[in-house]
Amino acid sequence: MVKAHSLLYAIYICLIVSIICGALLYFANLYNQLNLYYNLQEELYIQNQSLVNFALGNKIIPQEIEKDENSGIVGNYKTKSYGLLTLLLAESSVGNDTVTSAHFVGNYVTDKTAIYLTNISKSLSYSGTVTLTGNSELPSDFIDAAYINNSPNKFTNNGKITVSDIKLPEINPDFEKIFEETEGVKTALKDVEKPKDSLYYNSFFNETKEIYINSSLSNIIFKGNFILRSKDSIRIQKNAVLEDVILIAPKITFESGFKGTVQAFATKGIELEEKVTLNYPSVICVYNKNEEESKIIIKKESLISGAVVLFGNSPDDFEKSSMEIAEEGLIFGDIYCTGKLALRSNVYGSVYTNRFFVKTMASTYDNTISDVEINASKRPAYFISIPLFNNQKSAYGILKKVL
Amino acid sequence: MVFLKKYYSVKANSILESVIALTIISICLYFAILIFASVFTPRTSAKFYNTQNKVNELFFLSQLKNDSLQYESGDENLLIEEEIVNDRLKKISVQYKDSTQFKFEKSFYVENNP
Repeated sequence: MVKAHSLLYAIYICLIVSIICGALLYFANLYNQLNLYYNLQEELYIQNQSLVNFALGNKIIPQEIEKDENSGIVGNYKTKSYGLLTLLLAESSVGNDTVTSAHFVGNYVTDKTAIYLTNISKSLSYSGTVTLTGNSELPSDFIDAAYINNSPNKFTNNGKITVSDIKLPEINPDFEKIFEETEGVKTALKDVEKPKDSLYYNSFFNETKEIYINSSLSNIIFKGNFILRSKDSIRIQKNAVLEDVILIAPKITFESGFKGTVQAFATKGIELEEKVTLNYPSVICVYNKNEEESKIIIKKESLISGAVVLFGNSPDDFEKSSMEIAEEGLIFGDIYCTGKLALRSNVYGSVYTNRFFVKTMASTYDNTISDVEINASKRPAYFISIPLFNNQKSAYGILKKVL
Repeated sequence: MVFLKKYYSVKANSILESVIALTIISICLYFAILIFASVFTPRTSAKFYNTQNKVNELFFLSQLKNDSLQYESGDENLLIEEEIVNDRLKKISVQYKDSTQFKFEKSFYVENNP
């Protein structure tokens, strides 16, 4: 016989149901919290990318972006210059959660110029196998053959040739500004803390750190927002790791085999020894407005993605400034030289110069190019050049995402 | 019959006790159902996350290739609106709505590459 104690059974059932409900509520709460966290992070990340698109679409002009009504995410962005590049800092936040991003941005330039040689001396001649793809502006619309090393001459030109002006296009005034002394905090290398023990790292959201360094940089890692300065010459050894840093010194030398991403600015000269690789976006720039000689020397098998610039001399005094680029290398980007240029490596981009020269054991040939390919169309459509000229800003794009 | 009386007679102590017990159980079940209903909302369903992932996927697709959204119009519940902000920028609003009145909205900016 089963005795009925209905009230007692009812309380048992209630107890069981409340335990089940309690457990359900507890797990649901945990599940919700976790999902909310992941969803919010993902939403913030997407809204941040959307904000970057918004900034690029508005040509990085600071503008209010409306608050996202569905998620309540607020976004804002600002730009600042870093060397020759522009930095876009975007921040999306809701409550205490924030997602930030930093990108190097630039505007697309559809420069189809292969060679711009100013019309101040004799016409251009070629020797060996020379290929030009893109439009050229030269002292005369005819390119003569020169016989330098007894090899057969072959010239291919895919583009229009027009007569050039007596002056190179005006360079972007930002190049000169880099060499001006800044008012930022300058510290010696020994006073700088290493946040992660083995490397020097500074986020682009922080203020730029300017550091005075010794004449040689070896066994050291610098990443991010740094300006490395020296009052004398700097020699960068191949075991140094430099990423997105700016170097400013009278003379800079990169040891053979060095690889990195740098913007190097010098007043007397820059030398790249053999097999140096400077990744995109890198800049090699010499600005010499004094009477002394200045030189950029790029030795064999070096690869530079970005720009190589030599400027500052007056137009009638270009003999004192020279740029020598040895064979078997590649310049992926533009060359601007207000002095004279010895070009033996291929260029996938544009070359602007006052004079070419080829130096052999026996003699020097002016306004001659030998065994090179200059191809302006080998830059892909998404390639953003270093802003050499202050031309009309069209569409903006991302060069690189940085931390 | 005697056998049945001996083994199957269920005695209630009182009718009142049974009624109170039933009331307690029904109140308890009522709260249980309320809790279940509040826990299993549309926002906690797998479908909600599927939809959200789908919309996020649309954002990444439109980032990669501008015309990729036109192939997504096969889903009747998905309403995609494009608003051209300027010649380089467009705003995309995605709305998901189905027969259960479940609604989900999201908007983002993508570059308008010609």
